[in-house]
Amino acid sequence: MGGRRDVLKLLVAGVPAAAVAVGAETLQLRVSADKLFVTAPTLALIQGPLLQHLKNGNTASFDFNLSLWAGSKNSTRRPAFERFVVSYDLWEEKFSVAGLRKPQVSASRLTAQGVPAWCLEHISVPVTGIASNAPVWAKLEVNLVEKQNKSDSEENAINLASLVEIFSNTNRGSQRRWVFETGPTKL
Amino acid sequence: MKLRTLFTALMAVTTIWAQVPDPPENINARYTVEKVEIAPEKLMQKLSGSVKEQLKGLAGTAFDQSKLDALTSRIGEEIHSRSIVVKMEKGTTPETIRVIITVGENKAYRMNADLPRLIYHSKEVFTFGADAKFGHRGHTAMIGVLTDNDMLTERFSGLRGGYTRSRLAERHLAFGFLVESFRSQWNPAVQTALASSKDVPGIYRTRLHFEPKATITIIEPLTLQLGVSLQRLQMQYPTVRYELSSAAVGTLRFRQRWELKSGGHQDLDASYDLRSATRTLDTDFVYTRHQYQARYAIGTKKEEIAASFQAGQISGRAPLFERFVLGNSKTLRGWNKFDLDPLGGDRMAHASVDYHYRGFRTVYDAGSVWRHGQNAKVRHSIALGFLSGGPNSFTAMVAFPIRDGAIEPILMAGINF
Repeated sequence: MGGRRDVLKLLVAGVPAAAVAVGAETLQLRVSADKLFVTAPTLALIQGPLLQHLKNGNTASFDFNLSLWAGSKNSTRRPAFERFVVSYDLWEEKFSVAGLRKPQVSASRLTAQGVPAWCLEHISVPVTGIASNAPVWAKLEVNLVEKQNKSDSEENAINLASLVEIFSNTNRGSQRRWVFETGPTKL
Repeated sequence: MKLRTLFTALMAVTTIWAQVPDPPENINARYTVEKVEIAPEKLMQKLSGSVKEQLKGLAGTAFDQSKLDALTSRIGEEIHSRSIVVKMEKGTTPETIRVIITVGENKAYRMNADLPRLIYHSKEVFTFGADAKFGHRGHTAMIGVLTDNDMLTERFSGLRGGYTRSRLAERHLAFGFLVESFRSQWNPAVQTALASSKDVPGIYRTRLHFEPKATITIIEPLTLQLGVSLQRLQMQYPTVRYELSSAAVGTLRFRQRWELKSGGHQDLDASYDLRSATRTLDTDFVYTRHQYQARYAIGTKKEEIAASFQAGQISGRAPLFERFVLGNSKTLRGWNKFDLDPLGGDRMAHASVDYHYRGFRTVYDAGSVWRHGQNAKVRHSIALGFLSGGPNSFTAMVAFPIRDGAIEPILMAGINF
């Protein structure tokens, strides 16, 4: 279904570069019940063409990767991963989000700004065993997920266009990714 | 024991994936579809009866994102459009929605260039193939060049072309033909082995191939391909002469991809291929060739593990291009095919486990190629390397045979292997 893929590419291409901006100071850490949560006040996922895509009744999926390093950045990373699907209620004119894991979490009647905040409340990394005075680094990476559907011919052969893509790696630095980092800091 | 451990691991991964919960529905699934429209409206006439029925069937039911996705995909295929935008808006009555599928303008003709083969192999040197395809509303014409020293015991080089008419009979039927003209070059090991194998037909200088075929979709995704393979060989010894190798061919194939809710995927590709050359086809070679293949893969965008198996058997006197070859870029990668059997075998069994994580790829192969009446000797190999993207992307690997004694690594680099 190349059409949807093309549409998504078009949409993400329109996300303002500001959304990709990395600001270490914007990732704030919070520990609750031996789990690390983060907040990113400047994380704006839904705007521009993606906002219109959702208002047309479609869905968008986001992968949230949260990582924590303690002691040094060479130490073992503690990762967390969640995928959230966002849709827009055409009659209530509010956003809805749902996670994939069981027990399945979901929320409705959210604003565009409330969506990333809600997602961040539902992803955490355990901090058991980390001394309170140990330096820690945290990284949040959010990716807009593109649906991929290959036709038979695409599966069996590489065409020249995709070969050019392979060697030029055109996906690098595209605006479908938001990265926030902080550290060294203390819990 | 190794295979059992790998199989157990594969089953465990499959079980974990099977427990992935159902997808969260689009919040608008709580509403009823009032109407589904196609824009521009005139395109409705170009859709098949079954698609029109499905469009009508959506009205009055609860909105279902997966049904809509499947339908838009099919509309795109039928209208040959890669640009489809789906828009939903409030219906005229509360709690209802209207779905508008806008199909973008499409070029009347499509042209594409494919590289089905591009491999450097330290034992086989280069294999290269390029095709140009021209498509127009279900008609596809192809012309290409190929020089392949990988798949058979010969290097075959030349031109090929073909035509396919697809999506007939409500997409249940396609037919077409393939024409190939190759010149063959032989490794000295083949000619030496032929001297002591009188039951194997000799080498040929050229090969002209014509294969008309029809593909019937029995039940999506199960297909049956039927055709006739006609090959004229210019035999080299004892005197230059032409011989005909004609066979009825049939392939039953099941191929399905499941997109998992977690963002991963599962692929299953299984086929049975039969080639039967009988005197009724006025062939100089009488034989029957069976080949079974199955591949299962599970993975995500970052990693994938695939297990594959193939086996084959030939009875009768088959020409060299029909014989089974192991020890190339897709099988027993650490072995040189001419060290295993320069003439190929009439029995073959092979299994692989292929794993890649991000840019790293490793493959374990085990298999045997042998002749009727001989004992099968199972050989193993392992390959390690890098790839630039998915399974068909640019890959560079070093493969080693698992054996006692001197080990000579084989380097492979290219795509689609």
